[in-house]
Amino acid sequence: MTEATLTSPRSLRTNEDVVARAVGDDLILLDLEAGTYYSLNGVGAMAWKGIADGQPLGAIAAHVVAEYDVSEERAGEDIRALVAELVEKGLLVQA
Amino acid sequence: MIRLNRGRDAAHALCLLVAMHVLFRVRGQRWVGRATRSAMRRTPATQTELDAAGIDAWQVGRAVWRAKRWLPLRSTCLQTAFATQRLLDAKGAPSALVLGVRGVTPQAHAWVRVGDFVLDDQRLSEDFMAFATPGGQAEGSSR
Repeated sequence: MTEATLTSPRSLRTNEDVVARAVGDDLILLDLEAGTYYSLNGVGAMAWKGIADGQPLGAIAAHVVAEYDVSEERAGEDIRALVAELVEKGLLVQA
Repeated sequence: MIRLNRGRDAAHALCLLVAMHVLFRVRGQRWVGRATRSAMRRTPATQTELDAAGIDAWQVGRAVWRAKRWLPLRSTCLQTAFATQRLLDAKGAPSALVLGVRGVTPQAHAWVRVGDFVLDDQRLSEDFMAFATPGGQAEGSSR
């Protein structure tokens, strides 16, 4: 996953084999093919929903900055790291 | 005649439960995942459609639960739901599989929705929050 693709969110989409359920601020993800659960906290849930809606990562980061007491730079870094991990686990795939 | 039909349904259900045990073991998790996704995406028959076709969905569910007791193997909720869905299919009543989650350390449960019915022999569905249909938004309905 390169920086270029990470900043091109339209090239990413949620894996169709993953179902999600909001539980409070958190989001539970279930990978049907692997039979594995994942739990995302509020920021992760915000990122997942943003990607599912096709929002640019910059817009998602701005949303996080507006909701949480965090710098834009830090929010961007955290979201990029999360996206890389979600791609590695197959929860996000190339569109 | 009604009793005979119910006995036939239970025998059919028993075959379906055995088939599910074999399929789950032979085809593995990847098949289970794909079958689950497909089963969740189906549009269930409405109660009006069930009534028009003379299908008693509750009795179909009961036939599976009865068969489950005859089987010396322990069927999971997902195997039970798949068997229920296929027995309803055989009667011409499409149904939807619902997966739910509860707890901080997530626990999942599966059941079937058709018409006005939630077919869940363990009666746990009320304690679980339903996952959205694959490809849908994260917020699902509670059942």
